[in-house]
Amino acid sequence: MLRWNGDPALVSGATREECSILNERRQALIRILLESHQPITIRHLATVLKTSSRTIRYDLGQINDWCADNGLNLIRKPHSGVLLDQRGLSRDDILRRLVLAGPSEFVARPAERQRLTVSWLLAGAEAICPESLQTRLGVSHSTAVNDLRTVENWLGRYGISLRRDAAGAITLQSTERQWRQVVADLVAEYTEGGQLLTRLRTTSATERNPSHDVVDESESLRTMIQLSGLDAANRLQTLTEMVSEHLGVPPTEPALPNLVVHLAIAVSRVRQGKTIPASAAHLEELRSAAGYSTAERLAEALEQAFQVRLPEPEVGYLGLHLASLAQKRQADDEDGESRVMARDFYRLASSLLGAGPLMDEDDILALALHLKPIRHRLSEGLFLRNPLLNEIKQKLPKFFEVASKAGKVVESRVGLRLPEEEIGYLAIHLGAAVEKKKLSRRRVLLVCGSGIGTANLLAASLSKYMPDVEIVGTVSPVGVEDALSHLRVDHVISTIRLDLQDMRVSYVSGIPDQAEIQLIKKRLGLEQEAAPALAGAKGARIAGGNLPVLSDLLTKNHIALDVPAMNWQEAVTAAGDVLVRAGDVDSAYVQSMVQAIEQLGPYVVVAPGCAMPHARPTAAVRRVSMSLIRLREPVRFGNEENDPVDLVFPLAAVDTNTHLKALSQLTKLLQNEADLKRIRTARSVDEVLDVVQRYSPDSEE
Amino acid sequence: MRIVTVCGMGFGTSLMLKMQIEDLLKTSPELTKGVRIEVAAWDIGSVKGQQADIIVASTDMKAQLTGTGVDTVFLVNLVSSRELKEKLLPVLQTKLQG
Repeated sequence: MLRWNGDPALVSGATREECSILNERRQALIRILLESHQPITIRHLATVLKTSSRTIRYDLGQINDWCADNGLNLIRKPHSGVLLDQRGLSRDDILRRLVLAGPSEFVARPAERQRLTVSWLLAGAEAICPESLQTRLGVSHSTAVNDLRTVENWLGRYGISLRRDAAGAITLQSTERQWRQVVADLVAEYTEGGQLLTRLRTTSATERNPSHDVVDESESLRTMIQLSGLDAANRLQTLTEMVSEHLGVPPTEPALPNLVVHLAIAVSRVRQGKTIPASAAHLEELRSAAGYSTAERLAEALEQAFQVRLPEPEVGYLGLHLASLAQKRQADDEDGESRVMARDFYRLASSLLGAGPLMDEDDILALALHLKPIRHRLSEGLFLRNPLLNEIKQKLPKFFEVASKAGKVVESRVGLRLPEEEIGYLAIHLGAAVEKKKLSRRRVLLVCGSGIGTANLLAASLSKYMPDVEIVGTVSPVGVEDALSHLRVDHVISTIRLDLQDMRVSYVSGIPDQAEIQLIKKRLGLEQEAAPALAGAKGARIAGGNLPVLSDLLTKNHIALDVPAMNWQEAVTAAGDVLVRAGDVDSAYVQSMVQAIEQLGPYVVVAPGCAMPHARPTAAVRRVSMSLIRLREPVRFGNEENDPVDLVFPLAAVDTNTHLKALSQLTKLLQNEADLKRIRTARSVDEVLDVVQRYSPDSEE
Repeated sequence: MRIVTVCGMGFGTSLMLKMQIEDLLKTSPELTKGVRIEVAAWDIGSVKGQQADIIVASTDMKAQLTGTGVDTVFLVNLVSSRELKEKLLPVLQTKLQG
C-alpha cells in the first residue's frame, strides 16, 4: 500500500512535533489518565509510554493547559501520582475533543493540501485547475502547480494519470479498480490510526476546528468518508459485524477494517452503477480463487442488507480480498507476544477455577488474535463496544470475576488497565473454553440386550468414530436404572427399546452407520447443531461427504408392500408406523405428519401417485429416516392432478441438511417412470431394493 | 437474481425443487445469460420476509402464496423437469430481459 504520511516528498515544511500542541504521546497520556480512577505515578507513565520521567513531566505541563481550556482538572498528588478529574464531562465528549485537538489538525500543510486535492479529483464533482486550488487552499499559483505535480506523481504509481482539457480543467483518468484502490488506501490511513473509528463514533463528525482558518484535516477525512460510502449511518459497524460473523473472525481482527472499507466502497459504487468489469477468462480465474465460495455467501448477505445486486466480477474481487485477509491472519499467528499473554491468562484462570488446564492450542490462538491489537486499542482509547457486557456480568459472574483477576497478566504485560469491556471479552473466551472442555468428554452408558458381544462391537465403533466419548459402563436393560443412579452419565446409547422416559437416550443398531453416528454426535453436542430447521431452512447447502444415501435409509425393514389403507390418513399412519417399528421416530412424529397435511394441504403429493409426507424435525425424530410403502388400494389426498396415490415415502429429517443426498436421489427415482413401474409391479421387497440400490451409487463404500 | 422455492416446512419439497432448479441452471448455463442466480428453499411461514425475484412452489400452495407481488411459478408435478422448464423458463427470460 502506498502511504501518504510516509512519503517524504509530500511531508515537508514544519514537522508534527513543532506545530502540534497535543502530539500523539500527549494524547495517549490523556487517554491513560482518563481510564484510571486511581492516581498513576509518573514513573509508570514513563514506562508505558516508553519515554523518560522528565518528558512525562514536561508533557503534563503542556496537557495541563489543554485540560484547563477544556474544563478538566489535572490533579498532581505528591507521592501517589497524577489523576484526571473529569469534572462531570463524559468520556466520549473528552475523547471527541481529543480527536479534534489531535495532531491530525496540525499535520504538515503541504501533505494535507495535496490530500485534499486528491480527494477533490477523486470526487470529480467540480473542475480542478491551479487557479481553483489557489483560491480554495489559499496558496500561490506556483505552490498550486507544484502540489498538482506531486499529486500527479503519486497517482501515477497507481497507474492513474491526469488529463487537462483545453480550458485547463483537470480530471482523473482512472479505471474503477484504480479509483477504489486509491480511496481504500487513503481511508486505511485513517483507519489504522484509529481516527476514522473515533470520528465516526463521535456525534459531530462534521465539526470543524474553528481556530483553523483555511482548511483542516477533517475536510479531507470527510471527503474520503463520503467517497467510500462510510458516511451512511452505522455502515462501518454493520459491515464489521457482518464480516466478522461470516468469516468467523473477531471484530477486533486488525486486518478487518481494510476489508470493510473495500466492501463499503464496493457497495456504494455498485449502487451508483459503477462496477468493475471482467473478461470471461478473468472471471473464470476469479471464480477458482480460494476465497470465492466464502465471497459468494458474504455477497448474498451484503445484497440483502444493502439492497444491491453485486455483479459476478464484484464477487470475484471480494474473493481476492478475502484470500488476502486469510493470508494476513496466518502471518499474524506467528506473533509471539499475544500468544504468551493468552497462554498465561488461561493458565492463571485454570488455577483460579480450580480446574485442570482448560485450553488447547485453538483456544490460545483465538484469544491471541483477540489480544494482538490490545495494546493499540488501550493506548488509543479505542474501546471495543461490548453490547453483551451486562449480560455477561449477570449470566457468567464467575467467569467475569476470574477473567478480571487473570486479566492482570495481560495488564502487567501491556502496562495498562483493562476496562470492563475488555474483561467481558476475556470472560467469553474463558467460558467458551470451559464449555468446550466440558463437551469434549461425554460420559456415555451403553445398553445392550444380547450380551457382551454386541456391547463390545458397539463400544469399538463408538470409540472409533467418537474418540471424545468416554464409555462409563455397559449394562443390560435391567441394570440401566441402577447404573444411572450411581454413575454420572451424560447420555445413554442403547440397541434396544428402553422403558425410560429420558431425553438422554439414543437408539442405534449394533453396528451404527454413518447416519446414526452423525445423529449421536449431534445429540451429544460434539458437532455443531445446524441452525434450527424451522426458522432458517436456507442453511441447506449441497454437501457431499458422509450424508446418508437413499439405500442407507430405504433398507429392507423400511419397505412394505400392499399395505391396506382406507384413506390418506391411514396411508400416512401406516407408512409412519414403519419408521416407528424401526425405532427411527416416536409415534408423535406420525401424528404431526398427518397434522401437517391437514394444515398445509396436500402439497406432499409431489408426483402422480407419489406422496412424501413429512413434518418438522423434533425430539420425536431419533434419526434421519425414510420408508417406502406401496398401498394395496390407491387413496385420494385431495390433490386434483396427482391423485390417487399408491406410493408413500414418509421422510423424517433431523435438520435441513442431513437428508439432502437421499432426497436428491429420491427425486431422480421419482422422475424415472420405468423404475416407478418396477416398484409398482415388484413381487418382493428385494425387487424394490434392487431399484433403490441403483440410485445410491455411493452406497458400496 | 434470486429464486425462492417454498413448501410447508422448508426442507422437503422446497429442497427437492431447489436442487432441480440448480441442476437445470447448471446443465444449461446459457439460460442465465451470465447472471448469477441463487436458489433458496424456505418454509411458507418465513418466506414473507424474503427478497425474491421468482417464487416456485406446488400448486397446492396457491392460496397461501397469492398477493406476494412476486412472480410465482406453480407446479403440479414437483419432480417433472419438463414441467419445471416449461413454466420457469419464460418467467426467467422475461426477468432477465427486464
